[in-house]
Amino acid sequence: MADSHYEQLIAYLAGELDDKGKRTFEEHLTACGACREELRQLEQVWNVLPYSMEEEELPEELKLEVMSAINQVTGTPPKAGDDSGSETIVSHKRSIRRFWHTRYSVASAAIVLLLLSIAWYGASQRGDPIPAEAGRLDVPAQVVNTYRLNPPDSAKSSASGQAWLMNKGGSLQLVLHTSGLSALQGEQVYQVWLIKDGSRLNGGTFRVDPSGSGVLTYVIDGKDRPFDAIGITLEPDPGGTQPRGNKVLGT
Amino acid sequence: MQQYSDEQLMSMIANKQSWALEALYDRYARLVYSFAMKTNRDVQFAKDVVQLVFTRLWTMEVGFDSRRGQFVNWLLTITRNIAIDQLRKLRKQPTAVPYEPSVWESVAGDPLESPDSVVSRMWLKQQIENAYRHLTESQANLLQLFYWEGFTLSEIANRNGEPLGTVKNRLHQALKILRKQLASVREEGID
Repeated sequence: MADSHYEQLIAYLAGELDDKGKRTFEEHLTACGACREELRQLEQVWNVLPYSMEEEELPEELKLEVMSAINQVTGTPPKAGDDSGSETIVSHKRSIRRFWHTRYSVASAAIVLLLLSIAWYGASQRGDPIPAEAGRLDVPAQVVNTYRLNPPDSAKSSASGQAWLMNKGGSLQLVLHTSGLSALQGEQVYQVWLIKDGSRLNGGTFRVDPSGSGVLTYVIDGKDRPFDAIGITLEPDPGGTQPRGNKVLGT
Repeated sequence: MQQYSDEQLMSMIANKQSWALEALYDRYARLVYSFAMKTNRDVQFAKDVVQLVFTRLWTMEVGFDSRRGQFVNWLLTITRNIAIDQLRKLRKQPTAVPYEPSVWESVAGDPLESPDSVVSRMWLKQQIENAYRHLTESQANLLQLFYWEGFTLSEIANRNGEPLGTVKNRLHQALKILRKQLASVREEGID
Protein backbone atom coordinates (compact mmCIF):
# COMPACT_ATOMS: atom_id res chain seq x y z
CA MET A 1 0.00 0.00 0.00
CA ALA A 2 1.37 3.42 -0.93
CA ASP A 3 2.53 5.67 1.92
CA SER A 4 0.11 8.39 0.90
CA HIS A 5 -2.71 5.94 1.51
CA TYR A 6 -1.56 5.27 5.07
CA GLU A 7 -1.71 8.97 5.77
CA GLN A 8 -5.12 9.36 4.19
CA LEU A 9 -6.41 6.32 6.02
CA ILE A 10 -5.45 7.81 9.35
CA ALA A 11 -6.83 11.20 8.43
CA TYR A 12 -10.05 9.51 7.33
CA LEU A 13 -10.33 7.49 10.53
CA ALA A 14 -9.67 10.60 12.55
CA GLY A 15 -12.40 12.51 10.70
CA GLU A 16 -9.84 15.05 9.55
CA LEU A 17 -10.54 14.95 5.84
CA ASP A 18 -12.81 17.62 4.41
CA ASP A 19 -15.89 16.58 2.43
CA LYS A 20 -14.04 16.46 -0.85
CA GLY A 21 -11.15 14.49 0.62
CA LYS A 22 -13.61 12.09 2.22
CA ARG A 23 -15.42 11.44 -1.03
CA THR A 24 -12.17 10.94 -2.89
CA PHE A 25 -10.94 8.47 -0.30
CA GLU A 26 -14.25 6.62 -0.21
CA GLU A 27 -14.10 6.24 -3.97
CA HIS A 28 -10.64 4.79 -3.54
CA LEU A 29 -11.95 2.39 -0.92
CA THR A 30 -14.51 0.93 -3.28
CA ALA A 31 -11.65 -0.07 -5.58
CA CYS A 32 -8.92 -1.03 -3.13
CA GLY A 33 -9.26 -4.20 -1.05
CA ALA A 34 -5.96 -3.66 0.76
CA CYS A 35 -7.04 -0.27 2.05
CA ARG A 36 -10.47 -1.58 3.04
CA GLU A 37 -8.88 -4.35 5.06
CA GLU A 38 -6.41 -1.98 6.70
CA LEU A 39 -9.24 0.40 7.55
CA ARG A 40 -11.29 -2.43 8.98
CA GLN A 41 -8.46 -3.49 11.25
CA LEU A 42 -7.71 0.03 12.41
CA GLU A 43 -11.36 0.59 13.13
CA GLN A 44 -11.41 -2.47 15.35
CA VAL A 45 -8.78 -0.87 17.54
CA TRP A 46 -10.45 2.53 17.29
CA ASN A 47 -13.72 1.03 18.55
CA VAL A 48 -11.99 -0.57 21.51
CA LEU A 49 -10.13 2.54 22.71
CA PRO A 50 -13.12 3.89 24.68
CA TYR A 51 -13.03 0.93 27.04
CA SER A 52 -9.90 2.11 28.77
CA MET A 53 -12.31 4.48 30.56
CA GLU A 54 -13.21 4.08 34.21
CA GLU A 55 -16.88 3.36 34.71
CA GLU A 56 -18.29 6.19 36.76
CA GLU A 57 -21.46 6.26 38.81
CA LEU A 58 -24.19 8.18 37.03
CA PRO A 59 -25.49 11.11 39.08
CA GLU A 60 -29.07 10.16 39.99
CA GLU A 61 -30.62 13.50 39.19
CA LEU A 62 -29.18 13.45 35.68
CA LYS A 63 -31.96 11.42 34.07
CA LEU A 64 -34.66 13.87 35.08
CA GLU A 65 -32.48 16.81 34.08
CA VAL A 66 -31.85 15.33 30.66
CA MET A 67 -35.46 14.37 29.96
CA SER A 68 -36.76 17.73 31.17
CA ALA A 69 -34.25 19.63 29.09
CA ILE A 70 -35.18 17.63 26.02
CA ASN A 71 -38.83 18.40 26.71
CA GLN A 72 -38.10 22.10 26.86
CA VAL A 73 -36.20 22.00 23.61
CA THR A 74 -38.54 19.75 21.66
CA GLY A 75 -41.91 19.51 23.39
CA THR A 76 -41.58 15.87 24.44
CA PRO A 77 -43.39 14.86 27.62
CA PRO A 78 -40.67 14.02 30.15
CA LYS A 79 -40.96 10.64 31.76
CA ALA A 80 -38.36 10.28 34.46
CA GLY A 81 -38.21 10.02 38.20
CA ASP A 82 -40.44 8.21 40.67
CA ASP A 83 -43.99 6.98 40.22
CA SER A 84 -45.78 8.75 43.08
CA GLY A 85 -49.44 9.50 42.37
CA SER A 86 -51.04 12.92 42.37
CA GLU A 87 -54.60 14.18 42.30
CA THR A 88 -54.13 17.67 40.96
CA ILE A 89 -53.75 18.76 37.39
CA VAL A 90 -50.81 21.11 37.29
CA SER A 91 -49.22 22.17 34.08
CA HIS A 92 -45.78 22.53 35.64
CA LYS A 93 -43.51 20.15 33.82
CA ARG A 94 -42.13 18.44 36.89
CA SER A 95 -45.64 17.37 37.84
CA ILE A 96 -46.43 15.87 34.48
CA ARG A 97 -44.50 12.74 35.36
CA ARG A 98 -46.89 12.08 38.24
CA PHE A 99 -49.77 11.97 35.78
CA TRP A 100 -48.74 8.72 34.29
CA HIS A 101 -50.19 6.76 37.16
CA THR A 102 -53.12 8.90 38.21
CA ARG A 103 -56.52 7.34 37.69
CA TYR A 104 -59.65 9.21 36.79
CA SER A 105 -63.09 7.71 36.65
CA VAL A 106 -64.51 7.11 33.22
CA ALA A 107 -67.22 9.69 33.87
CA SER A 108 -64.82 12.50 34.59
CA ALA A 109 -62.80 11.46 31.56
CA ALA A 110 -65.88 11.85 29.43
CA ILE A 111 -66.55 15.29 30.90
CA VAL A 112 -63.01 16.44 30.27
CA LEU A 113 -63.17 15.13 26.74
CA LEU A 114 -66.54 16.74 26.16
CA LEU A 115 -65.24 20.11 27.32
CA LEU A 116 -62.16 19.80 25.19
CA SER A 117 -64.05 18.65 22.15
CA ILE A 118 -66.53 21.50 22.53
CA ALA A 119 -63.71 23.98 22.76
CA TRP A 120 -62.12 22.49 19.78
CA TYR A 121 -65.21 21.90 17.67
CA GLY A 122 -65.76 25.61 18.19
CA ALA A 123 -62.25 26.38 17.11
CA SER A 124 -62.45 24.15 14.08
CA GLN A 125 -65.59 25.94 13.02
CA ARG A 126 -63.65 29.14 13.04
CA GLY A 127 -61.31 27.46 10.64
CA ASP A 128 -58.37 27.39 13.04
CA PRO A 129 -55.62 25.02 11.98
CA ILE A 130 -56.10 22.69 14.92
CA PRO A 131 -54.54 19.50 13.49
CA ALA A 132 -51.39 21.41 12.60
CA GLU A 133 -50.64 21.85 16.31
CA ALA A 134 -50.10 18.14 16.50
CA GLY A 135 -46.88 18.42 14.55
CA ARG A 136 -45.31 21.46 16.16
CA LEU A 137 -42.23 20.92 18.27
CA ASP A 138 -42.53 24.03 20.40
CA VAL A 139 -46.01 23.20 21.72
CA PRO A 140 -45.76 21.07 24.83
CA ALA A 141 -47.97 18.00 24.93
CA GLN A 142 -49.87 17.45 28.14
CA VAL A 143 -51.41 14.26 29.48
CA VAL A 144 -55.13 14.76 29.96
CA ASN A 145 -55.95 11.24 31.02
CA THR A 146 -54.43 7.82 31.44
CA TYR A 147 -56.22 4.53 30.84
CA ARG A 148 -55.23 1.02 31.87
CA LEU A 149 -56.12 -1.68 29.34
CA ASN A 150 -56.92 -5.17 30.63
CA PRO A 151 -57.85 -8.49 29.00
CA PRO A 152 -61.49 -9.65 29.29
CA ASP A 153 -60.31 -12.72 31.18
CA SER A 154 -57.07 -12.12 33.02
CA ALA A 155 -56.81 -15.77 33.94
CA LYS A 156 -56.35 -16.61 30.27
CA SER A 157 -54.26 -13.72 29.07
CA SER A 158 -51.27 -11.84 30.37
CA ALA A 159 -51.70 -9.03 27.90
CA SER A 160 -51.91 -5.48 29.19
CA GLY A 161 -51.71 -1.96 27.95
CA GLN A 162 -51.91 1.70 28.68
CA ALA A 163 -53.35 4.59 26.78
CA TRP A 164 -52.68 8.26 27.22
CA LEU A 165 -54.91 11.02 26.01
CA MET A 166 -52.64 13.90 25.10
CA ASN A 167 -53.59 17.49 24.50
CA LYS A 168 -51.12 19.27 22.31
CA GLY A 169 -52.15 22.85 21.68
CA GLY A 170 -55.82 21.89 21.41
CA SER A 171 -55.14 18.86 19.24
CA LEU A 172 -56.10 15.62 20.96
CA GLN A 173 -54.12 12.46 20.43
CA LEU A 174 -54.53 9.03 21.89
CA VAL A 175 -51.28 7.14 22.40
CA LEU A 176 -51.52 3.42 23.15
CA HIS A 177 -48.91 0.95 24.24
CA THR A 178 -49.67 -2.75 24.62
CA SER A 179 -47.63 -5.73 25.70
CA GLY A 180 -48.10 -9.47 25.89
CA LEU A 181 -50.44 -9.77 22.93
CA SER A 182 -50.16 -12.94 20.86
CA ALA A 183 -48.25 -12.93 17.62
CA LEU A 184 -50.23 -12.26 14.47
CA GLN A 185 -50.52 -14.41 11.38
CA GLY A 186 -51.02 -13.44 7.79
CA GLU A 187 -53.09 -10.32 7.42
CA GLN A 188 -54.24 -10.18 11.03
CA VAL A 189 -54.07 -6.90 12.91
CA TYR A 190 -55.12 -5.55 16.26
CA GLN A 191 -57.72 -2.81 15.94
CA VAL A 192 -58.52 -0.01 18.36
CA TRP A 193 -62.13 1.08 18.93
CA LEU A 194 -63.33 4.26 20.61
CA ILE A 195 -66.62 3.33 22.23
CA LYS A 196 -69.48 5.71 23.06
CA ASP A 197 -72.96 4.61 24.01
CA GLY A 198 -72.38 1.21 22.48
CA SER A 199 -71.20 2.53 19.12
CA ARG A 200 -67.67 1.88 18.02
CA LEU A 201 -65.43 4.21 16.05
CA ASN A 202 -62.36 2.84 14.29
CA GLY A 203 -59.26 4.16 16.06
CA GLY A 204 -56.72 2.53 13.80
CA THR A 205 -54.84 -0.74 13.53
CA PHE A 206 -51.41 -1.96 14.60
CA ARG A 207 -49.22 -5.02 14.62
CA VAL A 208 -47.06 -6.31 17.42
CA ASP A 209 -43.38 -7.12 17.49
CA PRO A 210 -42.10 -10.63 18.33
CA SER A 211 -42.38 -9.91 22.04
CA GLY A 212 -46.05 -8.95 21.76
CA SER A 213 -45.65 -5.18 22.09
CA GLY A 214 -47.52 -2.70 20.01
CA VAL A 215 -47.75 1.07 19.82
CA LEU A 216 -50.32 3.30 18.18
CA THR A 217 -51.00 7.01 18.05
CA TYR A 218 -54.43 8.18 16.96
CA VAL A 219 -55.05 11.84 16.24
CA ILE A 220 -58.62 12.72 17.16
CA ASP A 221 -59.84 15.09 14.51
CA GLY A 222 -62.83 17.41 14.22
CA LYS A 223 -65.23 14.78 12.92
CA ASP A 224 -64.76 12.44 15.89
CA ARG A 225 -66.76 12.54 19.08
CA PRO A 226 -65.82 11.84 22.72
CA PHE A 227 -65.54 8.24 23.83
CA ASP A 228 -66.14 6.65 27.17
CA ALA A 229 -64.26 3.39 26.66
CA ILE A 230 -61.50 1.93 24.53
CA GLY A 231 -61.47 -1.63 23.17
CA ILE A 232 -58.90 -3.58 21.17
CA THR A 233 -59.91 -6.57 19.07
CA LEU A 234 -58.04 -9.14 17.01
CA GLU A 235 -59.12 -8.68 13.39
CA PRO A 236 -58.52 -10.89 10.36
CA ASP A 237 -57.28 -7.95 8.27
CA PRO A 238 -56.93 -4.15 8.49
CA GLY A 239 -59.98 -3.38 6.34
CA GLY A 240 -62.79 -3.53 8.91
CA THR A 241 -65.01 -0.62 9.99
CA GLN A 242 -66.77 -2.59 12.71
CA PRO A 243 -65.32 -5.24 15.01
CA ARG A 244 -65.32 -8.71 13.51
CA GLY A 245 -63.00 -10.46 15.94
CA ASN A 246 -62.74 -10.96 19.69
CA LYS A 247 -61.80 -8.34 22.24
CA VAL A 248 -58.31 -8.75 23.64
CA LEU A 249 -57.92 -5.61 25.75
CA GLY A 250 -60.15 -2.84 27.01
CA THR A 251 -60.70 -0.16 29.63
CA MET B 1 -39.67 -5.41 30.36
CA GLN B 2 -39.40 -6.65 26.79
CA GLN B 3 -35.92 -6.80 25.38
CA TYR B 4 -36.00 -4.44 22.43
CA SER B 5 -32.89 -4.21 20.31
CA ASP B 6 -31.07 -0.90 20.12
CA GLU B 7 -32.23 -0.56 16.51
CA GLN B 8 -35.86 -1.09 17.53
CA LEU B 9 -35.59 1.52 20.25
CA MET B 10 -34.00 3.95 17.82
CA SER B 11 -36.80 3.56 15.30
CA MET B 12 -39.36 4.09 18.06
CA ILE B 13 -37.44 7.19 19.05
CA ALA B 14 -37.72 8.37 15.45
CA ASN B 15 -41.47 7.93 15.95
CA LYS B 16 -41.28 10.11 19.03
CA GLN B 17 -41.94 7.40 21.61
CA SER B 18 -40.26 8.97 24.58
CA TRP B 19 -40.27 5.81 26.69
CA ALA B 20 -37.85 4.34 24.11
CA LEU B 21 -35.46 7.23 24.72
CA GLU B 22 -35.66 6.46 28.42
CA ALA B 23 -34.87 2.82 27.73
CA LEU B 24 -31.77 3.77 25.75
CA TYR B 25 -30.79 6.14 28.54
CA ASP B 26 -31.02 3.32 31.07
CA ARG B 27 -28.91 1.17 28.81
CA TYR B 28 -26.15 3.56 27.78
CA ALA B 29 -26.06 6.78 29.78
CA ARG B 30 -23.44 5.41 32.13
CA LEU B 31 -21.05 4.61 29.27
CA VAL B 32 -21.62 8.02 27.71
CA TYR B 33 -21.07 9.74 31.05
CA SER B 34 -17.93 7.74 31.83
CA PHE B 35 -16.48 8.44 28.40
CA ALA B 36 -17.09 12.16 28.86
CA MET B 37 -15.47 12.06 32.31
CA LYS B 38 -12.35 10.55 30.80
CA THR B 39 -12.02 13.34 28.27
CA ASN B 40 -12.40 16.03 30.93
CA ARG B 41 -12.63 15.27 34.61
CA ASP B 42 -15.52 17.59 35.29
CA VAL B 43 -18.95 16.42 36.44
CA GLN B 44 -20.91 19.30 34.91
CA PHE B 45 -19.08 18.88 31.61
CA ALA B 46 -19.91 15.18 31.55
CA LYS B 47 -23.57 15.85 32.41
CA ASP B 48 -23.75 18.37 29.55
CA VAL B 49 -22.32 15.80 27.15
CA VAL B 50 -24.91 13.21 28.21
CA GLN B 51 -27.66 15.74 27.62
CA LEU B 52 -26.29 16.71 24.22
CA VAL B 53 -25.92 13.09 23.16
CA PHE B 54 -29.44 12.07 24.14
CA THR B 55 -30.93 15.25 22.68
CA ARG B 56 -29.15 14.34 19.49
CA LEU B 57 -30.62 10.83 19.53
CA TRP B 58 -34.08 12.25 20.13
CA THR B 59 -33.89 14.74 17.29
CA MET B 60 -32.55 12.34 14.68
CA GLU B 61 -35.16 11.85 12.02
CA VAL B 62 -34.24 8.33 11.06
CA GLY B 63 -33.61 5.24 13.14
CA PHE B 64 -30.28 3.49 13.38
CA ASP B 65 -29.21 1.50 10.32
CA SER B 66 -27.26 -1.60 11.30
CA ARG B 67 -25.10 -1.17 8.21
CA ARG B 68 -23.41 1.51 10.25
CA GLY B 69 -22.00 -1.20 12.48
CA GLN B 70 -22.81 -1.90 16.08
CA PHE B 71 -24.94 0.65 17.83
CA VAL B 72 -22.70 1.07 20.87
CA ASN B 73 -19.68 1.86 18.70
CA TRP B 74 -21.66 4.44 16.78
CA LEU B 75 -23.01 5.90 20.01
CA LEU B 76 -19.53 6.22 21.51
CA THR B 77 -18.27 7.85 18.32
CA ILE B 78 -21.05 10.43 18.55
CA THR B 79 -20.22 10.86 22.24
CA ARG B 80 -16.56 11.42 21.44
CA ASN B 81 -17.38 13.92 18.70
CA ILE B 82 -19.68 15.87 20.99
CA ALA B 83 -17.27 15.74 23.94
CA ILE B 84 -14.38 16.94 21.81
CA ASP B 85 -16.49 19.69 20.31
CA GLN B 86 -17.30 20.89 23.83
CA LEU B 87 -13.67 20.63 24.93
CA ARG B 88 -12.49 22.61 21.94
CA LYS B 89 -15.07 25.29 22.68
CA LEU B 90 -13.71 25.50 26.22
CA ARG B 91 -10.21 25.90 24.82
CA LYS B 92 -11.49 28.41 22.27
CA GLN B 93 -10.35 26.28 19.36
CA PRO B 94 -12.24 25.97 16.07
CA THR B 95 -14.51 22.96 15.47
CA ALA B 96 -12.58 19.98 14.25
CA VAL B 97 -14.75 16.87 14.22
CA PRO B 98 -18.20 16.46 12.65
CA TYR B 99 -20.94 14.90 14.81
CA GLU B 100 -21.98 12.19 12.42
CA PRO B 101 -19.54 9.48 11.47
CA SER B 102 -19.88 8.54 7.81
CA VAL B 103 -20.99 5.05 6.90
CA TRP B 104 -17.51 3.75 6.16
CA GLU B 105 -16.24 4.83 9.52
CA SER B 106 -18.29 2.22 11.30
CA VAL B 107 -17.67 -1.11 9.71
CA ALA B 108 -19.27 -4.02 11.55
CA GLY B 109 -16.62 -5.27 13.92
CA ASP B 110 -16.18 -8.46 15.85
CA PRO B 111 -18.03 -9.18 19.11
CA LEU B 112 -14.98 -8.43 21.21
CA GLU B 113 -15.58 -4.78 20.57
CA SER B 114 -18.91 -4.31 22.25
CA PRO B 115 -18.86 -5.89 25.67
CA ASP B 116 -22.30 -5.75 27.14
CA SER B 117 -21.56 -6.52 30.73
CA VAL B 118 -19.53 -4.76 33.36
CA VAL B 119 -17.40 -7.85 33.77
CA SER B 120 -16.50 -8.13 30.11
CA ARG B 121 -15.79 -4.40 30.00
CA MET B 122 -13.44 -4.68 32.96
CA TRP B 123 -11.67 -7.54 31.27
CA LEU B 124 -11.37 -5.54 28.07
CA LYS B 125 -10.02 -2.57 30.00
CA GLN B 126 -7.35 -4.82 31.44
CA GLN B 127 -6.42 -6.06 27.97
CA ILE B 128 -6.15 -2.52 26.67
CA GLU B 129 -3.96 -1.48 29.59
CA ASN B 130 -1.70 -4.45 28.91
CA ALA B 131 -1.53 -3.57 25.24
CA TYR B 132 -0.66 0.05 26.08
CA ARG B 133 2.50 -1.13 27.82
CA HIS B 134 3.90 -1.95 24.39
CA LEU B 135 3.64 1.64 23.24
CA THR B 136 6.42 4.18 23.50
CA GLU B 137 5.79 7.22 25.64
CA SER B 138 5.36 9.47 22.64
CA GLN B 139 2.89 7.02 21.09
CA ALA B 140 0.83 6.82 24.27
CA ASN B 141 0.97 10.58 24.65
CA LEU B 142 -0.21 11.03 21.09
CA LEU B 143 -3.23 8.83 21.69
CA GLN B 144 -4.07 10.79 24.81
CA LEU B 145 -3.85 14.15 23.06
CA PHE B 146 -5.53 13.02 19.90
CA TYR B 147 -8.15 10.51 20.95
CA TRP B 148 -9.04 11.73 24.43
CA GLU B 149 -8.32 15.44 24.33
CA GLY B 150 -9.42 16.19 20.79
CA PHE B 151 -6.39 17.97 19.43
CA THR B 152 -6.03 17.64 15.68
CA LEU B 153 -2.97 15.98 14.21
CA SER B 154 -1.85 19.35 12.81
CA GLU B 155 -2.14 21.00 16.20
CA ILE B 156 -0.11 18.23 17.76
CA ALA B 157 2.53 18.44 15.05
CA ASN B 158 2.83 22.21 15.56
CA ARG B 159 3.06 21.81 19.29
CA ASN B 160 5.87 19.27 18.95
CA GLY B 161 7.60 21.15 16.15
CA GLU B 162 7.33 18.07 13.91
CA PRO B 163 6.11 17.45 10.37
CA LEU B 164 2.46 16.38 10.14
CA GLY B 165 3.49 13.19 8.31
CA THR B 166 5.61 12.10 11.27
CA VAL B 167 2.66 12.48 13.62
CA LYS B 168 0.35 10.55 11.29
CA ASN B 169 2.90 7.80 11.04
CA ARG B 170 3.27 7.62 14.81
CA LEU B 171 -0.49 7.30 15.20
CA HIS B 172 -0.57 4.56 12.61
CA GLN B 173 2.21 2.69 14.41
CA ALA B 174 0.49 3.07 17.76
CA LEU B 175 -2.77 1.65 16.42
CA LYS B 176 -0.96 -1.23 14.72
CA ILE B 177 0.84 -2.16 17.92
CA LEU B 178 -2.38 -2.11 19.93
CA ARG B 179 -4.12 -4.16 17.29
CA LYS B 180 -1.34 -6.75 17.34
CA GLN B 181 -1.48 -7.04 21.12
CA LEU B 182 -5.25 -7.31 21.25
CA ALA B 183 -5.34 -9.80 18.38
CA SER B 184 -2.85 -12.07 20.11
CA VAL B 185 -5.10 -12.04 23.18
CA ARG B 186 -7.97 -13.30 21.04
CA GLU B 187 -5.80 -15.94 19.43
CA GLU B 188 -5.00 -17.37 22.84
CA GLY B 189 -8.59 -18.50 22.81
CA ILE B 190 -9.96 -16.32 25.54
CA ASP B 191 -13.73 -16.15 24.98
